[in-house]
Amino acid sequence: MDITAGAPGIIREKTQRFNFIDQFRGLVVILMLLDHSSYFLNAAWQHIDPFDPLFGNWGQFIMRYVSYLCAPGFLMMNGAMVWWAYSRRTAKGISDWNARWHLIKRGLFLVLLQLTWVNSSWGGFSEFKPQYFGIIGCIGISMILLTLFIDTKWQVRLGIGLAIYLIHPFLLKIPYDSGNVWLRDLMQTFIDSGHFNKYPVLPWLAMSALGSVMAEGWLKVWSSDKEKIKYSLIIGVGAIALATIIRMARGFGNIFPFSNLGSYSFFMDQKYPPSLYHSLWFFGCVVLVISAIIAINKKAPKLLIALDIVGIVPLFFYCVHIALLGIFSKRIGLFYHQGTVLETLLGFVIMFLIMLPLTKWFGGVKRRSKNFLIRMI
Amino acid sequence: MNKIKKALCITYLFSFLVILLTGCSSRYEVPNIQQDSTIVYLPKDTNGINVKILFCKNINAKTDEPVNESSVFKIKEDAKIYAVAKLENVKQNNDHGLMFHIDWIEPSGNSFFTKRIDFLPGDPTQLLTSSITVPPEKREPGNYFLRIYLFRELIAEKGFLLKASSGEVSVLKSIVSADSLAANIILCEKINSKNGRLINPGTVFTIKEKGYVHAVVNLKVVPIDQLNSSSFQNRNITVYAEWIGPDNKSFYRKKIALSLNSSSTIRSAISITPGKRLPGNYSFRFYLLNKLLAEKNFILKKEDKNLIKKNKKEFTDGIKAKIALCRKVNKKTGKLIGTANIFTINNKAKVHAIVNLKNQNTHNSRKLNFYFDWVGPDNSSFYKKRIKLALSDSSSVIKSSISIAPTKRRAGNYKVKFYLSHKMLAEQDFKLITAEKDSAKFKH
Repeated sequence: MDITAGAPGIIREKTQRFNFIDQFRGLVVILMLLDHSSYFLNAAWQHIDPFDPLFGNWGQFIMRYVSYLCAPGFLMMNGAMVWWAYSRRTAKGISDWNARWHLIKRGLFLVLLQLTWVNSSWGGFSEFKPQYFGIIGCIGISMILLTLFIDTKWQVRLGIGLAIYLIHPFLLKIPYDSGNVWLRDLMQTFIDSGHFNKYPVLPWLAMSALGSVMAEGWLKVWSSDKEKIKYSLIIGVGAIALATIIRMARGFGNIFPFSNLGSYSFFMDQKYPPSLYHSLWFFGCVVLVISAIIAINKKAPKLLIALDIVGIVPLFFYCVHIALLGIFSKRIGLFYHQGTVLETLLGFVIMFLIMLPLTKWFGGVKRRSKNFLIRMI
Repeated sequence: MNKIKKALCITYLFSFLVILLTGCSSRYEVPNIQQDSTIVYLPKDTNGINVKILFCKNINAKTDEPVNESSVFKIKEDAKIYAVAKLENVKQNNDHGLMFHIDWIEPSGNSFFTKRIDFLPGDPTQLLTSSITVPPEKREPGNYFLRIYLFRELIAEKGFLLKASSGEVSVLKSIVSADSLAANIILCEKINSKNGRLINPGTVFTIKEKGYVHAVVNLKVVPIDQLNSSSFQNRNITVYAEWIGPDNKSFYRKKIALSLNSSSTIRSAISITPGKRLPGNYSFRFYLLNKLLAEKNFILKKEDKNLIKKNKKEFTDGIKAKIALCRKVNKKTGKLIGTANIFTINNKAKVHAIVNLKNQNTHNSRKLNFYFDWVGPDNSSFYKKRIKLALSDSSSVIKSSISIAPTKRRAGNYKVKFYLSHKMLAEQDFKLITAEKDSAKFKH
């Protein structure tokens, strides 16, 4: 389906949109809303340490675990978008540098957004906190770095992504003094996770690179939905099988130990920064969910209407829902860290009902607007 | 028909997902409360790992067995609470290693200490231990919990009660009179180091170089005879002075040991130089045994440079000086002898200048730079005397003198000028004459 969505900056024309990509992005930010509603409203977050999480019951576990799909999903879509935007622009005769510069600008915008709006919105804008980094900044830097080799063949990008995954566990062994702020910030920007940044660029750049490889299949090579579903299933199941083998071997690629196949601990390997098992597992999950979305789109597209609305402006949805939760829950103190699973789910539904019309409205504004900032969001 | 098929498909898919994911848990969701009140989430596998939690005041170093087992403890300096988790079926379940977490939860529901313990494969250890300290400044009375997780799943929890020790409660009750205490926090700019007088008390202060805000808390402590029955006589308890910034965060906390033997005054001060503080609403809080007893808010204002200049001008305008000259000053009475404007040059003779200062701004206690400038017949200065003085009284006297021996001075018109910093407050002319002229004058 074609819809009018002019690209930011130079070009204004009818741009091809891929419904399943929008719908998947919509699903990812809705899962983020669930996780963030839990963070603000759920009493369990009084004692959950995201670096080493413990769960009192199945509800708490599943509410946290489903959101583990978000970061890999967002980074893969980032890679896919970078590949698609670059290919489309160069195919239309835009110079190589201009095609890259457009993506670099967007990456820089995301970094700026992280340091300003996103960081402060967590506390309901009670203070300006530019001294932290996070997922949006990580996506921004990954976008800039991916731009450097986005013109290479998919085999090269796949090789770079896998090579980073293989090297990263060894890089994590580099000792550093976390008291040295410059060294800490440098390590936590690219390799390790900590107080400064939970999403280091290197492993997530690898996820972006894999996303750009998958985009070549989804958006170019596999022309029919049937092909998209078939190859996505093969790749997704293959990645999950490989991740399971790595997990069951209990050696390289694992960080947290686990009890047995299918237990909480089997699924919960380290996320900050991600282990090789975690990355491969969720790469497979993202590919499988996308194949499921393509399949549902064919049979029952109405089921995905809400995802469509949200997925067109996911960054707006992300920025606004955190700000609203931050202001009402943390700053004003409405149910902050007080609810159970049920109350958290109720809060999530209420937030979703607030966000849906807002997102639909902004989608329209963005479609009509020529403003640089609005086009960026 | 198609719609029914779709709905069935979705229901089937959803049920499948739920069954798949609930299968992740290896424990029952419904807890089992044991006789010793340990809440246990039993394993679905009957040979799974089980646990029993005990709390005690100490642990036998040799046997690791708990000593003084209890579920009620008192907040106390240097005391500890040990948790001992006795594990069952470890051997059968430790082919690949085990990962336990011990999580201590405070009454508010927040986790305050988590300990991870990993067992290597085959490790037969059947005890997990962890301990916390319970000093009054760290812990509050209330119901605490300890939770044990195996591979991130909650497998058991048990509560214990932490009480304020009875002696401390009575001391608290005796000391606390919150209404009067709030009024007893006084904030001021300065404290006179000699007499302890508070200078410029208030709640609005100006950020400036070398500026301070001092907080003084006057505490009425338990009378000694009441303390005789308590074990707290001659004992120090810990109190805290805490300063909160405009961002509502503490930026300075001072721990003070308070003797319970007498009335006490607690002091704490912060620097309010421009590099350290921003303008805004601040507060000073006072805690006793970790309990907030009193709070006083204050405002820090930006230094207004125009206002400083204006104040300085107003201040110097308020000081009036008058110079009197004489030959001698009675050391005992301070009475001036031989006041005049003409003096005879002579060995051992002197001219004394006595300045009477009238000050209208007695509230300002800072030291001021005064100086005398003695000017000769050639209109050049031959002697300057600097004096630093704080004008705390409405009138003050400052003196300076010069020798008028023939070897030092010659006849002519002289002046003595009196300055505050660079502003001249008073000036007095006088004449020095030689002895011959003096006698001629006498003959006439």
